[in-house]
Amino acid sequence: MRILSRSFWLLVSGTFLFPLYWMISISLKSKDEAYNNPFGIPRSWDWPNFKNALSQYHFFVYLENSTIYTAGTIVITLMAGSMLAYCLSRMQWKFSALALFYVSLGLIVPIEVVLIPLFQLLKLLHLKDSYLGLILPYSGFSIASCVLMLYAFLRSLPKELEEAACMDGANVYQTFFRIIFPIIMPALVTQCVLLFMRIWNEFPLAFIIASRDHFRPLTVGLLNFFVSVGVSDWGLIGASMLLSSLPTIIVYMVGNEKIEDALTAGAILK
Amino acid sequence: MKRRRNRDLSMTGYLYIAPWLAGFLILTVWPMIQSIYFSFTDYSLLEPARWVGMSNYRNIFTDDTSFVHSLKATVLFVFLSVPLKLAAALLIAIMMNRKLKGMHFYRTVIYFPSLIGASVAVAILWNNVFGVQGLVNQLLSVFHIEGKNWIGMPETALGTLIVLAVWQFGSSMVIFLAGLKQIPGEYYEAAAVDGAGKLRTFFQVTLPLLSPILLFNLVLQTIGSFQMFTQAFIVTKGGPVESTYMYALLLFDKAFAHFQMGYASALAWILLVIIAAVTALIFATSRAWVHYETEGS
Repeated sequence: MRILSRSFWLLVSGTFLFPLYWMISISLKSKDEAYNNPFGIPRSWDWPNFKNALSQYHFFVYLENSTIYTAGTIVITLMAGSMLAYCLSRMQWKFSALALFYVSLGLIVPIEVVLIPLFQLLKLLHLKDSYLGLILPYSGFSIASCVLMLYAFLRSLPKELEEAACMDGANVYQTFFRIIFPIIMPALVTQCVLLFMRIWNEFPLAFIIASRDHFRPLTVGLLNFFVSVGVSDWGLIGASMLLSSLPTIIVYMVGNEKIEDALTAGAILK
Repeated sequence: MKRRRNRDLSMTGYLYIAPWLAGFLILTVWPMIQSIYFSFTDYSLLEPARWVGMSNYRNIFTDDTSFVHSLKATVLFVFLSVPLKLAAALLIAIMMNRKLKGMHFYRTVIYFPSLIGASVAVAILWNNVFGVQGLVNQLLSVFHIEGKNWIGMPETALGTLIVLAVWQFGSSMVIFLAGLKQIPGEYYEAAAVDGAGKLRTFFQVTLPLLSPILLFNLVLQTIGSFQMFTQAFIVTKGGPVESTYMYALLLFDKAFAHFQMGYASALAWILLVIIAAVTALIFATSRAWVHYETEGS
């Protein structure tokens, strides 16, 4: 029984680690070997594919772009989202229930519905092919889940916190930035992780909006490179695929417990 | 005096929501209104939109075989991939919810495809696994079974996309696992005392207590699957003979390959209605099968 379960898990993890193995092994193979022996262990350890990939594939440009898109979206979403969530959970104003309902709607509206007007609007504002051209729509679409999660989190905090701050003479802004912000930090970190995974891998919108090579993130850059090289040189493709996946893999290695926390937080707090 | 205080408070409230309100209005509400309008027009981006009434909708429902094909492919994809994915996620989560040596390692590994699964790299890999010279065929040839061109045949192409989607069950599994850990051990002890077998315990204890999480995963995965784009775009490009022409792909083609923006807007609104209806249906049935612990106590 023990052997059976052990081999089951080994088999399962084998299947799941296969893409990583495949990327590494094929990136070490020459053109001919990649064609004749695509899935086997490489016969020799060669690194020219990486050298070629770095010179032909604009990895560092795409990496920088992906980083800017992701970081920009995270900053805007967390700032605007935490303020809105605080306002919805703590202040009483006429339309707060309506606003909350409206935010929730943002969860189910597919991006396809606003895609065309959005495309047109970004062109009109000369934001197409600029960093803001993707950061703003990403933030607009990320804010719904961010607000709903922070709202649930803030609702669970005792009101005495602010009352104490108020006694000490802090105004509402000081209260928010000095008292509330540090307390909701764990929830913000969770959101940060979720946003990273979502924006870093986002493809359709980036494909449509960031059409110039200079503004492409890794996802779009990799596909274009794949299309231009074709299936003739799998070693080169493999090396650029591995380079492109590396940032995600590193982030996951460093923060995999945070990622698991983030995923479960969404389900349990809802 | 009291009035003024109230007004001050609401001013602050509006200041707090201002960044969101401005962004939300400009980036989602206004485009949505425009998109409704476009759906009743003939619009190519280059020339101003021309009002055509219901004709886009009429054409979609009566005169567009691609729409029928893509709706069929998308519905098949959602109805097959979501249950299979959730079943796989739940099964593995239950198997993992035991103290086993190296479990942390396995958990990390199993989440891996979900992490890079949405990426372009894995879609390219998939092309290679199910291609004519692909891994699947090479494995089959070991057993002297003749392989197929899995991606190139209309009967099997959608299947490869479903397998790819099911394979990425990691995030659902992690959520199930967290839910399982919250079930108090006493329930299982009580079930054991009553002499319930493993299967019975699963259906009488685990599943009801896990049902809110199941609902969450179901809704999330269903909405996401209806909008599936990247994998179909890269692995099959909608072919062969439109057997994997996912709805988002059709919409993309109409808008950015044929520049029929009005037509594509109408397609987008039909998709929204379908997603809203399916989500509402799930929530409506959930009263019958989702149990909250606070009920009845």
